[in-house]
Amino acid sequence: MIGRPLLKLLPVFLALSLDAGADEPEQLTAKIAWGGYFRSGVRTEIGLTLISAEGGRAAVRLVSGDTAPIDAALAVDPGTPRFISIPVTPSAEQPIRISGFLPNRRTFEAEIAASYPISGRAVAVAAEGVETNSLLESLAGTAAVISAHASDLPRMAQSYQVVDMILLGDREFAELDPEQFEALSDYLRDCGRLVFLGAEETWENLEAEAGCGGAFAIRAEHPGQGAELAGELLDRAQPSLPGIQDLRDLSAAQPPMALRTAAVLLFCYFTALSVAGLTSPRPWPLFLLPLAFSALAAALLTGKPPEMRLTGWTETSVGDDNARFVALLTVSGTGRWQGRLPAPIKFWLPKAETYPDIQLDIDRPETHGLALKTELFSYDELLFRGTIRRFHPPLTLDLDQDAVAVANPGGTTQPAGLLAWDGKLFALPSLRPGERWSAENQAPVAPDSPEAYKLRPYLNRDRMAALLIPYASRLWRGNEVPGDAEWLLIKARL
Amino acid sequence: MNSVRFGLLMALLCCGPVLIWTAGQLMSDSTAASAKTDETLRTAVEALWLVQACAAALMATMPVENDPIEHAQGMLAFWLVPLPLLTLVWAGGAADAWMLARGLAAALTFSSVLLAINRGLGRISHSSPWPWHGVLSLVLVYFVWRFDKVWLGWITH
Repeated sequence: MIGRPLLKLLPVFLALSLDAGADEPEQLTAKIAWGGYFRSGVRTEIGLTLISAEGGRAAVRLVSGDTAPIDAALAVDPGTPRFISIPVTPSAEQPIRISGFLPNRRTFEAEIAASYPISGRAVAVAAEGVETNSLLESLAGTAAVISAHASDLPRMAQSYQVVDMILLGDREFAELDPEQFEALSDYLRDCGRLVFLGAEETWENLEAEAGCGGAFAIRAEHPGQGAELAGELLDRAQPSLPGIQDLRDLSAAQPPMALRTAAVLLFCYFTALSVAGLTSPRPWPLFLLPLAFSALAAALLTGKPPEMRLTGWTETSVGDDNARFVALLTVSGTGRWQGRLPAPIKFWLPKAETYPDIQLDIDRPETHGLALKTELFSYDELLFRGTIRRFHPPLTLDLDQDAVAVANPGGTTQPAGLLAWDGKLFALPSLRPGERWSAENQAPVAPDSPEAYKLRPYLNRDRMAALLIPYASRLWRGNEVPGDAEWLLIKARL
Repeated sequence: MNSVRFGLLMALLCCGPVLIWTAGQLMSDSTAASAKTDETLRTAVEALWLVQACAAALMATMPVENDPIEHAQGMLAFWLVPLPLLTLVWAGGAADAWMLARGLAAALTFSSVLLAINRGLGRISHSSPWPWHGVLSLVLVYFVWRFDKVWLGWITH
């Protein structure tokens, strides 16, 4: 994709403008979310506006930080601005490289540097009337304050990782486009912190999106109260989902089998070679055997799709319409293979030690995919995060002062699980449709399994119960990725 | 023992330790990042070529009364034996086919030169008190070792 830069680089503030000249209608404008504020190594996004004299398919490639390139394909109408958002991971050292081609196959390339790094906690203010001084006073110097316009707010939920809290005004909220609203909803479902300064009726819509029972989304009557509440909300600890090591512990996946295949192949080869060397009076078998085994190895170890396993963890609370998930996908190479794995239905970009190429088809979001390239012995781990709207847990958890009960309201039998309640761990049996189970008079069990270990934080919490059951998240359509160990945690509080 | 069997024995002696070391590394890093696996496989290939170069030099000092065709066949067997191992390295993504082909070409050239020295000067050595072919072979091995970066650079880039 490297070609002659047809478009000139004209950096304007943090927006990048590329213009071929007065006679050339081609133009590319780039703008980093949050007005250019970023955290090194943390996902944010870049908004690109592309104008082309000709209509047709265009392509953009972004390279940022140490991550793999992200390729995006999109359709452009002649002379009509086309806006797209692409995830980036800026670093203070490396600029973001943008390249691609227009429908007329003319190539372009440019660089944009993210200029305002954030370290420590940060609060974004997209609300009129909030005085920075009073807000800083409320935050007691524990966080930086960045001002943002409605247009600076991201269109991808993962870009909210840049800030720890947002103060959003009524007017700014009204200016959000559907993509921005969707990203904000995802952020709220993921228990993101929000102080909303606006009317009650608008707030009701937003509050419905909030995860964690709405514990991290509050409404303020006026800017002064918003600043006060911000300090209190920022100190409220958000529940964390299991990390990559936790999911590895939960995974039942066996180590890659490729080594065994290779070992068997080589053992057979060396045995055959030794026998031929000792018994054959002619040298030809000694020449043919290496060639034959090489051909066999090449045939066996090319074109085979990798072995993939998914370990998932989904969390929700009783009374919460939303759920959050984190999933670890392991990809074990069984030979040289290159292919494309469809991305899960809705996801944040995977975060892991190794990254495959990401291919986004802007016009067909359902076909977003991960371009995977595997080799013998290769082992990749991809960590996905996301939220689920209108989540219906398969079991209900009823909690009162003295007892806790679990019921199966659905039409299918639910598998056995574990319940943490009143400092004890109980083994929940498999429940048939309509069946109800109570922890009363049940003998507790020892927390000696990896999944029971994950319930330990809930054992000694007052007025709280937590239920853990096997659960198939169906993040992928069809059966492209087999589930290995997937769990659902349902929390209930008195 | 004829040259072909001797070549096979030498090749097995070269492959054995490299194979055991590689398997040990891969077993201990079964869930490590691909970059480390790549490094292991690359090191295995380079180590294999290095011990083969030494073994080839040793083979070149063999007595020259053997049939020259049999001698060449011995060398060929010696170089062909690790081919499946190199195929595994290729499947592991640590080396592309061109790199392995260049490595094999360099190794065969080296062997051919040693063989030529052995055949040409070995006869003289028999009639003189000095083992010229052995000395020249060792000089060649010294230069191969001394300028390893040059030929390894050519192979790997």
